[in-house]
Amino acid sequence: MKNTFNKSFRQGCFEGAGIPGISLCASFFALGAVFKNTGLDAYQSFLSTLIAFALPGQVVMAETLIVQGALLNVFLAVLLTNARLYPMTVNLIPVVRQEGRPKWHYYVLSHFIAVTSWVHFLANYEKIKKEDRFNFFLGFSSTLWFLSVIATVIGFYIAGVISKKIFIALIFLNPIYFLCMVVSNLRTKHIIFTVIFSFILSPILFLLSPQWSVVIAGLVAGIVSYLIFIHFK
Amino acid sequence: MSSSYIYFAIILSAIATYLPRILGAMSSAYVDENGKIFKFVSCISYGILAALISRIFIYPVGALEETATLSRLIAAALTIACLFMTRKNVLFSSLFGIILFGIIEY
Repeated sequence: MKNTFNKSFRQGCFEGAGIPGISLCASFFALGAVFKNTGLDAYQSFLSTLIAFALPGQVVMAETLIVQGALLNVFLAVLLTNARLYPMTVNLIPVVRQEGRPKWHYYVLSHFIAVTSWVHFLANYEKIKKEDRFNFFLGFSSTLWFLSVIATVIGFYIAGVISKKIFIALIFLNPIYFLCMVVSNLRTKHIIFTVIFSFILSPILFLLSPQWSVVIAGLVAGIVSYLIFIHFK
Repeated sequence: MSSSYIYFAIILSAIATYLPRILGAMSSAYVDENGKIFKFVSCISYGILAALISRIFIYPVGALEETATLSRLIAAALTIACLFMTRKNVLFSSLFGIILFGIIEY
């Protein structure tokens, strides 16, 4: 544990405060405004990003609260929305795994796994030595989390002050950043096929089942790609 | 909507968010970085991420709903073109994307 907060950790913090942090802050800034309109107070907005750090799930929670949904509905809707975090965590932990590190470290680390940290780290992890990856990712992702908490509170207080046009442009930054990161990370045939197939399939499935479209499209595209390019190769 | 109701909703959201993460961390003990399961999970993860991005661009929720789908798609397509022209400069391309979107939309 004493070796965790070393130079690699600090490098991760520094990288997190760059474009990934700016991009994520823009979205959480907008989330703070959404929370204010939903009827949450500043403490509740702060707490939400602090303990339930995953933007799409937080948006779903706010939407369910607006329609006075039952608590069970909130739980199931957020669980379904955040189901993507399961394969992402399974995918990321083996990359940062270190011999001798206790399991609970990974359980703590998993709290910080979200789309921005996942996509950025997997695009760059090969440049980082295996023994430095855990510390780097912890610094990187915890910085994103910390900045997101601050941005949510600032967004809550500044909601309504900035122009709506700038507000919408800020929200657009995060999906554009995701898109750039995913496209820049397309190196292998199976990932290229998966991304293109899923990108086409998702909006089609949305017309049939809005709630399940993302999970089903991702599963179908991933399984088909795996079978074609890896299993039956 | 009472304050305690909102706090309960936040705590349940936190559990629903942490559950897939901790289950993922537990399952990952059986996954080798160079194995086939790792590649399989990569495919699924990228698939879900691409599906999520596609949904945000085509059927967004919240403030982006008020913008034109064509504006979002043109901005996305030209951002990808910019990304390749700048040898995958993510920072420049992202900024290009939101400025372009702002110009097209307004």
